[in-house]
Amino acid sequence: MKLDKQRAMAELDVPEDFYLELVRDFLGQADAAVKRLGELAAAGGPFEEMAKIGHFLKGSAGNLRIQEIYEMAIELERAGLQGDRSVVVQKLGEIRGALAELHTQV
Amino acid sequence: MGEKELAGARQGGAKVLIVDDDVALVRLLSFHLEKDGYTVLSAGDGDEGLRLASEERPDLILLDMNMPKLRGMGFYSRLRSPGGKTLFPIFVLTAQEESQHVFSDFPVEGFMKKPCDVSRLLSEVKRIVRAKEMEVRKAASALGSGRKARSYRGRILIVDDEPVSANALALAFWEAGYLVQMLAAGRYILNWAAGSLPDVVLVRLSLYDYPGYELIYKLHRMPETKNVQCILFTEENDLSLRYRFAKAAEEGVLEGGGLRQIVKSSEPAVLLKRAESLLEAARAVGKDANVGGTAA
Repeated sequence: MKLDKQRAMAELDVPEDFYLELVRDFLGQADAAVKRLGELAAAGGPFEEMAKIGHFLKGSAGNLRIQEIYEMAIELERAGLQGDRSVVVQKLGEIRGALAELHTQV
Repeated sequence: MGEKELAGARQGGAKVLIVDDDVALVRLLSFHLEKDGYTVLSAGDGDEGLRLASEERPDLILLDMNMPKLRGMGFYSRLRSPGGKTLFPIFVLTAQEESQHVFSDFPVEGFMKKPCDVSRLLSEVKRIVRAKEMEVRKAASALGSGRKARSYRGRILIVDDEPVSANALALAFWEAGYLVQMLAAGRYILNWAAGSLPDVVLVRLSLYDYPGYELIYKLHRMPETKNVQCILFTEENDLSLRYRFAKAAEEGVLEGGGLRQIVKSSEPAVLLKRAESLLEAARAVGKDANVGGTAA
């Protein structure tokens, strides 16, 4: 995944170094949330908590204009609400990968 | 508060409290708000948000709907007065599409769907804070002007060290037309009440520095305040109630203290009703012909 820093900085009206700090803050919380999501997915529930994690990632990634993770999180939240374990597991994998790539860009 | 004092209080910038568990968003909003001259406070969960709101009395709260401990709606309902207003202006931030519908019956200052449009949010903050400042200036100006003085139905002194409850009580009495003064600790009451005689004193039973009944006992032994109407209140589920009254009886303060009005509730509506019936009774027997008046 490619972080579109220019677009995000323009929309949020922040300088680059500050924006990167914000993304690091996001990564700190997102890593913990995804770790918890992995535990929940392995245990098979509860789906409500998985949906909440999706909801948090959606809001947080969206606020920083991290578009790909935002879109994956929308689907994760929906799958959690529908109790669809296979989609939750699929999105978990995708979000893990996207976060790992994001780490390399900040 | 006079207009000069008000202007002085504003020099440090209006206070905005952000209640949100999204660390990056809190930093982003703080960055912009501080740049615009606001003082920013933040809380990562509802309990901490309530504590800060009570202590710091913000000019505006930006509230996330989906946060740990006390969710947005729980936080909101704790800050509502019996009249339906909130103690502080609240602007709701949410990624939940249905929140606007949920809040349609509640008086919030506005909504913004996440992801936030930062510049629109900053405009909203400015609008709300300005409107509040105008409202306060108007009230201060009315209080400061002899011609436009606000008449009031009585002076109420609230002695309560639970900030959320004290604020809710103050708002309810103020909305009902009373002049309200507040003390957060029992130790100040004796000097204060003698100097500015209230019509009714509401005292929390379990103040941290003095038992409430002891304060009332002392008030009633001072010549200046011996006839002041007092209401001692506590929560309905206060498990220490029986013990405290046994102790009060043991210390001999129940008989002489005139604890005629004991209310097992801290609900503003209940206490307002009780205070009004006390004032009514005082007027009827002509004990206090000067209840109420005009704020100068």
